[in-house]
This record gives sequence, structure tokens and C-alpha cells, in this order.
Amino acid sequence: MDDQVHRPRRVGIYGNQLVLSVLAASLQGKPSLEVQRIDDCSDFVDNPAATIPDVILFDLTGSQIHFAIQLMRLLPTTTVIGVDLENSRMLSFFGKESALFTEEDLIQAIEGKASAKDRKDNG
Amino acid sequence: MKVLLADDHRLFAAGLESLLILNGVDVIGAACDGLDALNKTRALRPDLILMDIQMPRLDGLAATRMIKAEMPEVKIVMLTMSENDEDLFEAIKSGACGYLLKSDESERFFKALSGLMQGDAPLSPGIAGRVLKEFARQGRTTEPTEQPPKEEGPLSPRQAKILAMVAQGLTYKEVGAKLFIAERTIKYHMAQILDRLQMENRKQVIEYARRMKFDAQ
Repeated sequence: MDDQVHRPRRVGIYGNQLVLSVLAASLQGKPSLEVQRIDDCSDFVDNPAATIPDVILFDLTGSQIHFAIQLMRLLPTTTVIGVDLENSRMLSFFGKESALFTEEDLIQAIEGKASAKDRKDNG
Repeated sequence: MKVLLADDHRLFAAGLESLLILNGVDVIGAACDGLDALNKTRALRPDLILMDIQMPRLDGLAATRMIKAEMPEVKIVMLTMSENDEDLFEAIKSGACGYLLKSDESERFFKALSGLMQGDAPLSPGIAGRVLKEFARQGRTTEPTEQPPKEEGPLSPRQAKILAMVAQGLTYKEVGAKLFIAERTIKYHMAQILDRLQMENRKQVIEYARRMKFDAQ
């Protein structure tokens, strides 16, 4: 918990586009952030010891949205942010995994609450 | 090479400045719109401007035309998200020597910039082909007109105006005063005119201008 609070936020930059390199340069040197380039997200699957970023930035204008979904499935604890500098917008994807057994589980997720099984598992 | 940035997106401009400096580029300033770019170009005299297109007050295309008219020695490369043909062709016609996309890979961007120093035209992949296609299309659709002989080459409207005024007997200083540009810029244009018309001296070019009735304009 202390580690989560005090350590810099790990930001992964996925892609070689100039807009992303510009953002990386902008974020470098910020003491609260640790910026790293990511060449291949499957590295996190192949290498369990790899440090998973807290946030991954990618270029929304050059990628399919399904890429973000794949990334969230791969790294469910990571926030994925698609940046669109042309329109000065960004889209944040939060991967929150939870159990789906009953209608109640689904309704709870829609209403933004933990599922029954998750509540039971987490006490 | 001294570089001026012109982009109204604050995050992109600040980040680009940091990225360029990290890669050893001498960034001498940043402008937030086309008018700011024009004023900063006059004050700072950059070698190169990386110019966005969509900007408030004065867009990048208009700023390019004004800067090139006044300071033709400054190189301007458009750096934009726009892949629009209209913007591309207008940029080239306005005097831009390159057109790069912000969605390009960083490595390609820096390679294009270093190529500029060797005289290459920095163009994103696919851009050169579109420009050639447009020239070919214009060549097919243009009606033949009474043009000067091919080896003499056409003059731009600005060059034609300067030549007309010189042919009328004005000094370079007087021409500059009338057009609100520096005398040395007039001298630069006259050198370009001599080159385009393949003439050897001012006397020849004035004779040509009078023969072609430039002084009657």
C-alpha cells in the first residue's frame, strides 16, 4: 500500500508516432512519473516478472478501438488512455474485471457496485 | 539550424520543443498562431519553421505565404495532422518546402529533418506521390497560353510585380518601401528572377520586362 502511494506512476507509451514521442518528452522528468516505451504488450504475458505500467498511452487516431480492449484484457489493472491531439481529446479505458454468474452480478456492474461473488470473496 | 515552432496546441508545442532539444535541435522560439509566427520570424530570423496549419488569428498557410513573401530564405515545413489534399497543395503553392504528418513515426520525422539540411524535401510517405499526381493532372487540364519561351520560365506574381516596378525605373529601396519589404529581399527576388529567366544581368532582365510589357502593369 505504501509502495502504491509513494512510488512514481509508471506510464507506458505504446507506439512510435511523433505525437506519442512528443507526449513522452513532455512527461519525462516529472518526478511523479516514470515513463517507458513499450514495443510489444505481449511481453507482459511472456515475462511475468515485467513491471506492468499503471497507465498506457496510445494514439487513438491511428488505432482500432479493439486494440484498447485487448490491452485491457491483457493488463486489467492498467488504465489505457487513447490520445487524439487533432481533436484535443483523450479516451480513458478502465479494465475492471468481476464475476458474472447471475443477473444480479450484471445489474450490480451496471449500477457500479461489486458483484455478489466478489463481495463474498473479498469479505 | 535555428528552428521556430508554430503550433496552437500547447501540449504538443511544449512536448515537441522538449523532444527536439533532446535530439540536439536548436529551438529558438515557439509561436501560438500564424500572426505570432510572422512576428517571431521577423524578430528571431529562424532557418526553419515547423508550422501547423489549423491555428487561430492567422492559419499556417496564410502565415507561410506572408513569411515567404517577406523572408524567402526562411524554410517552412508544415507539421500537421491534416492529410487533406487541399491543405497539402495549398501549402506547396504557398512556399512550404516540406509537409510532415504528426502521425508519422518519430524516426522518420527526424530523418526528414536531417535530410532537409542536405537539400531534401521533407515529405511524409505518400505525400510526394500525391503532389506528382496533382502536377500531372494540372498538366493535362491546363489550356496552352501565350507563355514566354520555356527556357525563360514563369515568374511568380510577386516576382512579376517587383520586375514591373524595377522596369518602371524604381530603385530596389523604392520598390521595398512600396511593398513593405526590405531592400535585401528585393535583391534576393531579383537574383531569383535572373536565374529563372536565365539572364546574365539587370539590364537584360529590364529589357525583357519592357519587351513583355511588365512595366505597363
